[in-house]
Amino acid sequence: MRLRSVLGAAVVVLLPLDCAHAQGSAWRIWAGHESFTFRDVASSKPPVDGSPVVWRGDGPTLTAGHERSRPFRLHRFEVTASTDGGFVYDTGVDVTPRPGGDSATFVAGRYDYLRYLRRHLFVDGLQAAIGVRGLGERRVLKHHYGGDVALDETDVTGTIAYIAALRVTRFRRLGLDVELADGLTLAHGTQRHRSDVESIDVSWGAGWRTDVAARADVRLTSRTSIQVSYRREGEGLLFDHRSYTSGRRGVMVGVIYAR
Amino acid sequence: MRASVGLVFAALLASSGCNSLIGPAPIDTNWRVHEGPHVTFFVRPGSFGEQNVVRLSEVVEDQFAATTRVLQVNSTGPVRAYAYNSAADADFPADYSGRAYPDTEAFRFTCIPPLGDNLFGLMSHEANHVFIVSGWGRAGTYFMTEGLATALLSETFHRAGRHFLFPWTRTNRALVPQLSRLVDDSEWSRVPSNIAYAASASFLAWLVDTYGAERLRQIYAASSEELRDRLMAVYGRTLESLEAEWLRFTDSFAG
Repeated sequence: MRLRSVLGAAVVVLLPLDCAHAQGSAWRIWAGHESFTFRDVASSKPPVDGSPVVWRGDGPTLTAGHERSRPFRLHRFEVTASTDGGFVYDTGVDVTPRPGGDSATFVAGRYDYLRYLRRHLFVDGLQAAIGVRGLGERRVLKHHYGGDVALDETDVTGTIAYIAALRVTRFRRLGLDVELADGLTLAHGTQRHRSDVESIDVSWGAGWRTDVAARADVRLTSRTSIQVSYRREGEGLLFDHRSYTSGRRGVMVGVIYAR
Repeated sequence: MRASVGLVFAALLASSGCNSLIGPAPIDTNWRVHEGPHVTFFVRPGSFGEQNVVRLSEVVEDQFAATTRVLQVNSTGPVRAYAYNSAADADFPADYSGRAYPDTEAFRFTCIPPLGDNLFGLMSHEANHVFIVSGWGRAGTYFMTEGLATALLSETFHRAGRHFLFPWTRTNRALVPQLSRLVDDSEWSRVPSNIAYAASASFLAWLVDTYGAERLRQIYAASSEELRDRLMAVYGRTLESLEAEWLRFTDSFAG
């Protein structure tokens, strides 16, 4: 799984480059590796009471996006697909492999609108932005237990979040930005419990989501840049009779092509 | 102005947002591990739990065997049991507390002296949440979720099951709410929890003993809105009719 991720990233990095920093309109594509963690929650009163055991897997992730930028505005669209396997139970004391069928897959679409402040902060080239994010995601979690019991969960979520961001535009060939997004989520979840009998539990839920991202892009040519990004997401989803928190962390490498 | 805007942004970015405030605490790693056939215990070094982990393991393995036999499910596990030294250690509101996490096959509980019915009952109740959900999936009501976890207590090592529940129902008849209230999720939290748990468990223990687990499974996932119709379809009886029969039984229960 890790090898596939590295190869995926390498393919993207080795694409013919003739680069550009994002000004005007730009297309982006990244590939990388992420880890996914899941803890069910017994009590949702903050801070939530999460399981002492983490269900954890990792795998490749791929993102494609388009952005339109003006000096003080940015519209960004992204679509991301990820698939995680190699799951374990991690207690912090020991790690136990899970059955090979355990998996988590995600498909998400995202729109960001950012408005940068005209004044620079502290030093020239450091700009702050505020914005909003709309995010829709579909995930499928497959979890197997002893005795041929399986739990499949399909959640469709919609999130609206604020964004706070900082970017450094001081250098001609190097761009840096970091952003935090905090939002509220509405979710529709379907759990299928399969043993000798199949039972289905469908419910609506709600929750929170926090995304943190940091990116560095290096301008290679007038149209093309290479970008390295780190992202960390944490969320909680609360349904009737069940709740969970999850987290995803990933490092991605990609290219930006500006028109 | 520029500095204050900058500080606000820096503080926002450094806070890591809602997830660090609302999200769960990091994993606790101060444990010693005692492996059992189906349940692995995590105990604090040098604690009461560590001193008695062999006995705790015997009790919970017996509970595992009893629950999987009654529910007619294949074996599950390994389940992880976390024994805490106190309510403060576990961040629970009271000493006699526990929580279960069926999706990750774990539960935790306060493990404080004496080594007897209360401790065994609490531990087995939390373990049952994991065994039951692993085998049958999620219940449709709090009544079923909490009631069945106590209703299925094995009494090999303690008397916190039927020998407590049925006499309790007889001697506390004035406190026992009508079942129509208990099966309603919107009413469940308004009933004192000790009464709601014991009354639900008493009824469900009687229902399993009298009509078997297979029928119970057919009403297990029913929501509050569905339960009355499901009872009629499966048992051919109204909730009130079953309630009256249960109360007559507890009145005559000799132990």
